[in-house]
Amino acid sequence: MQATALLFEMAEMARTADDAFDRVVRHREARLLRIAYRMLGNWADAEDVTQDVFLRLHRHGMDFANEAALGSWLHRVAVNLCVDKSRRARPTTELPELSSGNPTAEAELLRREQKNLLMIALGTLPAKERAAVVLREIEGLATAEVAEILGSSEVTVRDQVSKAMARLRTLMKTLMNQERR
Amino acid sequence: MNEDEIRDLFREMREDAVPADSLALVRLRVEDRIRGRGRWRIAAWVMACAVVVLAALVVQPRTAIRRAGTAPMAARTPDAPPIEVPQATLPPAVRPAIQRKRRHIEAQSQPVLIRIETPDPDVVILLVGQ
Repeated sequence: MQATALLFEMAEMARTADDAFDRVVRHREARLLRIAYRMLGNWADAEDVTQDVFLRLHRHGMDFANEAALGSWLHRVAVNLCVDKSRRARPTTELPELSSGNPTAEAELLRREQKNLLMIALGTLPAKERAAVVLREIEGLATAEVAEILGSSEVTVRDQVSKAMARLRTLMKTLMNQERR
Repeated sequence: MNEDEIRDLFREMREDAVPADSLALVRLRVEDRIRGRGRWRIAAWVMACAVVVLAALVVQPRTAIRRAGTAPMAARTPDAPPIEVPQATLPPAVRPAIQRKRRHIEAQSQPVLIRIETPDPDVVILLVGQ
């Protein structure tokens, strides 16, 4: 009798853990996928990395002090996997198709083109700098959070972001000039 | 393009929607892998249980035969001849050594009789030892 109760309790605990895991996947997948895409420059690799992050979370278990600790852990694993992957292969950026003569559509297209150039420029940055820019400037995380995720100090993060922004400015100028020609 | 413009672009990028098929694909693959792992875990448990049961079955019959060889105490009668337990034949390589040992044990286990005669011819002290 006791054994049956224990089995039921264990099954209930497993079900609760699965529910918690599903909730985290649904809540965090879009952001992680976006970070991975900004880091790697293509959706296929971003999907692989996001999948790996969740599998690692499943293996690790849902034992976190709070939501912030969980978020920090997920971001850290995602960034580390992206850095590893980008070391193995050069990033490839998927460019959109060009079309339409509509002025609003043209403005929209121009904006999209600028974003794509920015993605190309981002892909040329060293992995750590790219991670700092993606987390701080695109995802809008606090410098302290970024420092914790990257395992460095806030000063280092600020320095990396500032250097990266300067490089991006120069690169964007060059790329836009090339586009005009 | 200056830094502010780049930052504006970054802010816009933050709001960019993630392709729905990418999200669906990630969810599907994660579920698939987790279920697959769960199946393996169950299979491992089943295998472990099967091994334990098999081991129990292999060990159990020998002890059961040995127990069956000796009759229960209540069924015995005082003058009934002792039930002979069939001896398992051993391979020839180990047999002489075991026999020697058995003979030695048997020799040791024969009763020892010490007879002490006292000055009185009617009194004799007998010491019996194992």
